[in-house]
Amino acid sequence: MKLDATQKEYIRDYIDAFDVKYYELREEFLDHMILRVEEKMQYTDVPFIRAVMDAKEEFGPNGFTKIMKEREKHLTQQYRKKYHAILRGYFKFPQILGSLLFATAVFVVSGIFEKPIRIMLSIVFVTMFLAGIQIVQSFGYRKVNRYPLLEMHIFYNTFGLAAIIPNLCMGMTLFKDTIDFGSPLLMVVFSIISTVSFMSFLSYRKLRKEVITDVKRLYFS
Amino acid sequence: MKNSQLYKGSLNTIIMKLLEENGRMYGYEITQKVKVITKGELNITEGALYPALHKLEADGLLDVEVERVDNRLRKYYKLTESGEKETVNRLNELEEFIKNMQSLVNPSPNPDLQF
Repeated sequence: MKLDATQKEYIRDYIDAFDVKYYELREEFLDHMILRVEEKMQYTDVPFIRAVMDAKEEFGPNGFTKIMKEREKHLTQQYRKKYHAILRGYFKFPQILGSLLFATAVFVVSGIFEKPIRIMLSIVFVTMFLAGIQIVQSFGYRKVNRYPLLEMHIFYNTFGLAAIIPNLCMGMTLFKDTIDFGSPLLMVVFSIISTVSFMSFLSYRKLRKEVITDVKRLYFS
Repeated sequence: MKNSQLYKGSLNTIIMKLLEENGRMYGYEITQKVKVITKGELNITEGALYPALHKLEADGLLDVEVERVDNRLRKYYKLTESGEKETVNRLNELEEFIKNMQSLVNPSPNPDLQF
């Protein structure tokens, strides 16, 4: 038997009472609960409210929360794994050639300036600016019907600040008076750090594109 | 179900096998299919099913599709290319396991091992 709109709305509210805050999980639980209740009412004389409670029991004690926490954990692991795989790619042949070229360019161009801090700072702030733009551009995909999307939430929790904080720290280090920019060794170190920092940003950008494409395909098409 | 512990380690393989046979399925459909195939002997609880599905998805073995049904979303799971290969491996492992268990539970007399 099919449930009517009021009964479906009751189940929706029932799930909300358990603080299932993410849209995709809420929808998945809702579909499952409705089907389970419809089946129960079709083959038994159990009243609607009892059937809803029985359906919830199948998820186990703290079932919704437990599934939600596990999903958060799995997604975080999945994104970290992907991010590190992309980043490692920049240090493998043939992409490493581009990374080496970038590091050499930073080193050579820094030597042209009397104050190499300028080129270093430019890289830091351009990277931060681009990362900021990426975050702002994704705002539209963070929620569906007022409910946050778990994928976007985990992505930003794991990588949002990761794209900005290393650059910010490096930027602050470069302002220190004690740094001798005449030292070639120090310049090599800064060139490497700038390169890794920029490659981290590129990895973040690539992963973000992947996540947004997925979210768009599933929930915005 | 008589003893859920016996099936616990094989849950992922059961899910993957069903998806291999049926193409794509949603959570509730999987629980029902298992119930029908095992004539009610095995009942996969939602508390075990969804973490397993989400883990397989995170491992890149499952892909998802979403469809609007009766004004709500339905999430379908299907095997990815690597999921299909992994299913074959896991089924082989499971068959090997069942064979070993049968040998242990019901040992055939081996003349070489007799003292």
